[in-house]
Amino acid sequence: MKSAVPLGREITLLLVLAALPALLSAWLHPRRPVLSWSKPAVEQVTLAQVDSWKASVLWVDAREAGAYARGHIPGAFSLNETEWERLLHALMQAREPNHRIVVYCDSERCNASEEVALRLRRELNVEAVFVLQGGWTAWRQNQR
Amino acid sequence: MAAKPTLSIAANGAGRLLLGGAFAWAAAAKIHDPATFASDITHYRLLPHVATLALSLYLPWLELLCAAAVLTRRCERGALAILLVLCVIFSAALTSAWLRGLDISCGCFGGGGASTPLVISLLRSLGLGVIALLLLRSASIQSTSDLEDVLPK
Repeated sequence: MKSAVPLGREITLLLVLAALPALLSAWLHPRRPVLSWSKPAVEQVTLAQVDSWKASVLWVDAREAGAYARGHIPGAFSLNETEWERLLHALMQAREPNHRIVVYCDSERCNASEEVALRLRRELNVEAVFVLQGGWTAWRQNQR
Repeated sequence: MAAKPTLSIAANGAGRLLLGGAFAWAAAAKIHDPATFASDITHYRLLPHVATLALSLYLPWLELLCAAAVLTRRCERGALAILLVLCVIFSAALTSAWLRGLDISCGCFGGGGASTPLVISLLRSLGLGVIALLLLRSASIQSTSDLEDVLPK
């Protein structure tokens, strides 16, 4: 015979138990979302999401020229605030209407990718612009 | 006289395997990559940012725990009630996205890419909800009849 534990108590127990690993995930999970009180101005995407988009992705490297020259995502266009006018032309030549533009900089802590993404949206009226979560660092870790 | 459960033993077992298995598989994919799941939730444009983050971290673990409870028959009724509510909420969200013409991924099984049409995801969610409802009803009737066996007549 099963014990007649009230339904409410079972539900409460499950709801509470699930919170413990969730809190640990928020603290330790390497693929946790970026925790912030306000929504980022530009949507962040993960490498897994970008991989699922396959050929319709245009990579944009928002770092300075020296960092770009030392290494970048294959096929990525360099575009930074310092040399905006000179570098924009090459990107626009390659862009097609169905392309999703994904901008990255060094890591989660740099702002350049969001600034470049916002400027692209503003000046070119392009909606499908995203920022790569974790940036160049995340991409390199994924290659190992 | 004790009421008979609404499902046969075989149907009960098959239903629990299907429901528990589906939610366990869905939960595992989302536990592996909560950032992508958070992005999937964002695309529905239904929740505030903080709620999206909290849900992306909490919901997969709740699903996994309930799936385990259904498969092991521990806190089974509580787990089935929660899964039923989740199926109703998922179905409502999918319906909303479909009516608004959003081209998004369901987010049901992680992944982040738009592969399964929303209508298929909706039908799947409704189907799992029906299974959860039938199992919950059966478990509740069984629980009531167990009580009647013990209480003095």
